[in-house]
Amino acid sequence: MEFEFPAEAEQFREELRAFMDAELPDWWNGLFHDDDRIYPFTREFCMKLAERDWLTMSWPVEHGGVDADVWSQMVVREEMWAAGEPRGPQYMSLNYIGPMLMEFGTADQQERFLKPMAAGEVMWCQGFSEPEAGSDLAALSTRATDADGCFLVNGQKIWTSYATAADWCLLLCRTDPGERKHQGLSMLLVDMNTPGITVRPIDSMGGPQEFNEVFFDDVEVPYDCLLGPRGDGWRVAMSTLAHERVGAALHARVKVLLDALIEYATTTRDENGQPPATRPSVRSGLVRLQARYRAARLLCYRVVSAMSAGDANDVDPAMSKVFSSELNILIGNIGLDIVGARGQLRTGDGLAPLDGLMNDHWVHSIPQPIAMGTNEIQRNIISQRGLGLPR
Amino acid sequence: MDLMLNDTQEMIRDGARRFLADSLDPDSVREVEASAEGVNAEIWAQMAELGWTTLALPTDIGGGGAGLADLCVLAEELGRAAASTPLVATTGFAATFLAAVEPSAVTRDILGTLATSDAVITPALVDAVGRDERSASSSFLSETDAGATISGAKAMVPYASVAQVLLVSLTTSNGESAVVAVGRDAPGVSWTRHGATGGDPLFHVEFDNVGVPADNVLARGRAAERAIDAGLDAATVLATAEAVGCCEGMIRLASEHASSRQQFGKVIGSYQAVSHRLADMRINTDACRLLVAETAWMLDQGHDARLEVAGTKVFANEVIVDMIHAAHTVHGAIGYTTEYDLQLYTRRARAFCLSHGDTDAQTERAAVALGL
Repeated sequence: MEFEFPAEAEQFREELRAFMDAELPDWWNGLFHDDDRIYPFTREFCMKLAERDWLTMSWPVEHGGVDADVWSQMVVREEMWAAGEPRGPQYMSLNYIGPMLMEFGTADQQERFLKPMAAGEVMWCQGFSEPEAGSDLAALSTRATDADGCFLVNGQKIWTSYATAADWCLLLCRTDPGERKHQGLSMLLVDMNTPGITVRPIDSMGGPQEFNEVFFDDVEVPYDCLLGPRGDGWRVAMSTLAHERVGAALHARVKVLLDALIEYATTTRDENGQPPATRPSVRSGLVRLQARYRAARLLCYRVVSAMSAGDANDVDPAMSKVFSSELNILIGNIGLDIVGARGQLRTGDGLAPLDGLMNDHWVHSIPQPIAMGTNEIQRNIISQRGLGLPR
Repeated sequence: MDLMLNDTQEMIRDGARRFLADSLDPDSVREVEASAEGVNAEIWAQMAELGWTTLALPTDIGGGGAGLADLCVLAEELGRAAASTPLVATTGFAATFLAAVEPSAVTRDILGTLATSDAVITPALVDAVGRDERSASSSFLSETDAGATISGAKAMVPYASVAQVLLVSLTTSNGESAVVAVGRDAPGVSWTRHGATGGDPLFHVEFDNVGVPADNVLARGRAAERAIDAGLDAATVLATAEAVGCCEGMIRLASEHASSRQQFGKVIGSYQAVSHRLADMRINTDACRLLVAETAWMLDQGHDARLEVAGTKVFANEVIVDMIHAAHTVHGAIGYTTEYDLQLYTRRARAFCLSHGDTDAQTERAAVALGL
């Protein structure tokens, strides 16, 4: 066993940090905030990453990547997530929409879609969840029927992040109804400018930018935008979800928050003139968080280690996801308790401790155990596939 | 970065698993627990024969030259078998402590004995009236030209009745700490066994004006405290690895039970109230194992790992207590019986959480290391 990043990866981390220090504007405060500058900025930022070969570095050379080693890829995920994901929605293209096109796409589709992704010019969103199909994704009912030389899509998607800004949508829908629910699904690549698509932002606790509803009303999708075999969309989607979870570095944000809390606890003074770090509950809270941060990081690295040893499984990513997402909840709550009453004040209020950092994190931590496959689904995977318990 | 076991570690794991499957079963664990000494001398002798007790000692004195990380793989297997041995006391604490103090004829002699026999060398650190291993000692060392004399009492000394040498922490007449090597057979040393929750036999040891040669004072002052810290760090990590093995035992039994026990016409493991508890046990056990491995690796590399040792222990204490009760809850009443094996693991695991630094003590150590 070996618990150090390769020297080249650490050196790359320094370069990347210097680049981000230079490129991230002062107003940047993470992806999901009510600010019109965010999406245009992420597009520019990705194009600059692409110029340096850092955007799709994990991809093979033939598709515009540089075949980067897995630990350099981890460095990118960590640094981006730590900084509030300035790549915007494009992390999805790199982590799984692109690789899915490489696995299932035709030569024409690869030519058409991978190049703009590698150049950082295009934003995708993921149209999977529906009002009646969340964890039970295969129960989805958005339909693509055969019309005059194309599919005609009708239905509704929900919780679609980035849909207001996206150019394309990876859409899972039902092409052949009437069969068993995992069958008859197909994956379509849908131009978001097609007539008949309506995007309605959902005002959420995280602001108006985080989630949307997307309505499809007689939307024409050309046949050459079918990805993978017709009726085999479930298999295509499952390959996606595996990539999605492996791509997460949810622990990286915890480190940023932990460092901020340690600084707060040691440098500020309470009304008695004492730093918060003198309180036993603060000491205990920070120690617990630090150990859990290490564990979250190692559970994540284990997934990558196993993959690069050719020993990947479904269970390790599930464990990593549950642990890291619940740690994000924990640090939000312990953090709010440490900063105390003023923790309820939001970013921008002069009296908000850490400029509302813990408040902002707490809000955005709420969806983490729900997104990317709920933690209940992950625990099913762990107990059934990992421990052999009956379904 | 590589979190997979290497070839040596896989060999240790497979070898230990085979050996323990052949030579130890739950009934023999029960017999040893019920015996007067509480020691499975045969297993320890065989482990010494196989070179496991000296795996991490330097090769020039007859050890295996492996690291603490490798030793942790062995310790986890012992935990899985609910085997209680002096590994943590002797190989974890004593060998590390002796390597950390100023070398002398006495330390060379004891290390040589360790490397070439199944001798048990054990720490006597917990004061009879103090909180834990690091508390100031109310046992005293008095020194005259004629030699040294020690008097006082130590609590919870593991394997004292079979130990050749006790490494005793004391307070000198000028208020310094010191550690003295005391032969268990020295006149004035007496011991009685504690009744205790875990698997290791623990003893209350009294020192009634025990005379020792001046050279047996192995370390004093800050040097003594640093060497004790080094020994305790290694012992703590090794004990945590054993506890991970105990957790694996709990998971195995609880999964088997949940897969076979039927209620309301269904196997109970198909209820998420049960299966999700088991999933959490799986996650937290793996998290502990990874923390142990990283910490051991850091110590092997010579890095300062105070934060990691203490933080790992704090995390392990927290999640293991939860796991113990999750495992019992999944089992229902049967898990509470002594004829069922679960209690062999859960008692050991609970004792672990209180040993080698309880949560408050390790939280404070970690907090200081974190700069708080």
